[in-house]
Amino acid sequence: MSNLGVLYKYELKKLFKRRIVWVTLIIAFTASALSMILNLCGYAYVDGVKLESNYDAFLVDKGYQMQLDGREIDQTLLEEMLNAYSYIPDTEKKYSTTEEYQKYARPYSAIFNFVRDMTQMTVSDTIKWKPDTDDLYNKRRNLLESNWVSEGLSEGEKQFWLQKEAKISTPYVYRYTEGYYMILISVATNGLLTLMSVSICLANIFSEEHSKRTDQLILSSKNGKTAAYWSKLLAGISFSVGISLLLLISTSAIALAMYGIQGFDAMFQLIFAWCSYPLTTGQAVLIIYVCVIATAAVFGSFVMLLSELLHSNIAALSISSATLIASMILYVPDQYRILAQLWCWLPSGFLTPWNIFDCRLLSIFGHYFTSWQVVPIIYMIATVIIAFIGKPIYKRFQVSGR
Amino acid sequence: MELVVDGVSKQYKNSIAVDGVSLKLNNGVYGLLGANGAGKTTLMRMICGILKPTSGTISFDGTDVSTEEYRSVLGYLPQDFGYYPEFSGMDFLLYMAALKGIPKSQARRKADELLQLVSLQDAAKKKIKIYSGGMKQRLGIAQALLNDPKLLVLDEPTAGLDPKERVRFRNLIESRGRNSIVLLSTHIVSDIEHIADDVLMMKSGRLIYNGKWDMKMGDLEEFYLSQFGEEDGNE
Repeated sequence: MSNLGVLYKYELKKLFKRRIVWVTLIIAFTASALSMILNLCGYAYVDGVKLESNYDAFLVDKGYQMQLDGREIDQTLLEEMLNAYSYIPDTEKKYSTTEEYQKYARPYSAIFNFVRDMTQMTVSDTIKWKPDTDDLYNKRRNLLESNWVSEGLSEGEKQFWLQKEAKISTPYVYRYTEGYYMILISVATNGLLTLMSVSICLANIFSEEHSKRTDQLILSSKNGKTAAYWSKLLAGISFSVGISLLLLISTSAIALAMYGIQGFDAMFQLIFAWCSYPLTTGQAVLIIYVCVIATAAVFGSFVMLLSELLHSNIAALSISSATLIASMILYVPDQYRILAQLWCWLPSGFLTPWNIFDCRLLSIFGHYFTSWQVVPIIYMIATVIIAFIGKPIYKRFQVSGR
Repeated sequence: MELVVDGVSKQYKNSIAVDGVSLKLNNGVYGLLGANGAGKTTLMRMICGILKPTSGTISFDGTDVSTEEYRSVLGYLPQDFGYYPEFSGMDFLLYMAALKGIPKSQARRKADELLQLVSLQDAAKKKIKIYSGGMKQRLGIAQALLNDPKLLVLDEPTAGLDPKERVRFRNLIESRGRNSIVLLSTHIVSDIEHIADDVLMMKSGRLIYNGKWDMKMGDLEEFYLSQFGEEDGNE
């Protein structure tokens, strides 16, 4: 009898009996919640003068954005917006502090910022811009295409994206999507907190058996060389997945509670203009969930492999943390296409909106796949491979010396 | 029931810990004596399958030491017995029972029985980290007995036990030896005299004595001291 279920339960018990696990989780959840909550705390200052509280600003802007909800971003709306912005006088002051901005332009600030985001124009250029729907969407397309060139996309990849672009109908329909935007931009913070927590909590899942000398009892028992290994691995992976899911759910719940749940079926391009895939914000959030969970699983198995290989939690923690730091400070230039793409696909660096929704594709037998389609599958396969690499290392351990 | 150790050696870079040991053990209690560094622990680890011999084979009733079947009849108490400080004694035994493949339905009954046997029933729900040295050692003995092992290997089992506990332990091992092979190592010669049916003596990795010890042959302790003299140093 392998007793895998009972062993799994005890592995989780060992994990949650450790104080460091609880301390790490409390810090991770607090940091994640604060990163969301603090956005609405404090005040906006212009030239040292307090303008308004961030919360008041949010309420005012949300009210204006809700008035625009459901309107097409077409010629009429663009003209309305620029007409409103034309009231802002030429002044030395920051334009957003003027009375005219507050009275006329602010109700359209969401559209103004959307146009700036789509066209990468400066504030003054946008104000001077002659509103033109075709020009707006063409500008975005031109920027996209030049980005495809700089990223080294092949003709096949460009064709793939052009086909996807054709499925995105214009003019876009404006929707209030602030809650989902906050979830999107929190992915990097959440990803880092998840991987750091996994690293700290799992670094000694195998090594502690050697340091506590319980390895002798485990390895000399009937299920000690097989079921015990799988139970540890399953406990570590389910811990990683569980933590990532809980962090995502808690952050999403806070974001949606604070900013509103509206916009689940809005087009994703409203919050991430540079994605050419026809997705809704809800679909994008679910994709982020899958990517974070798969990343946590593969990183967890990597940390556990280090734990068994090095027999030291400090060494396992150091190496896994170093990979996280390396992805933050090292950058592979885009001209080294394959290397740059692989670097962005490493678990330590993958969890950012621009890497998850990267325009660089993977071609398999003439079919193209996006990062978010292929990387979670690669991670799942890698998790299984790492598990099987670790098995003989664990099994062959020799209790000597001491 | 037969444990066969055939020409087993363990060589490290610059030293030989066990040098060509051959043994055939049947039901009974075997006392393994030897100075620190004589190779007792290394031999026991190899018999328990947690250390691979450089050469030679070990089998129980024809089953190789590396198999799950072999491990299923094995009970082992290591010299440096490790535990989980945050687990209760009961939790520890239930975890060990799962490792030994004992069904959940039987595990609790068996754990209760053994905690009673080693007089830890009142401390069953207490965390191991508050146990005394003797209590931990008794818990270690209990876990070794969980699967009613046919081959019981005990490395320094009486370390940390007070005289009363030692007597209880002797009786326990004596009864186990009737139906299984018990191999125990100790520094305490009187333990061997009282418990063991046969004496095994190791020196510098070699087996220098294997057989019954009769009082007619003289005092075992004197024989032990004459063999090891001043050499009992660091392991």
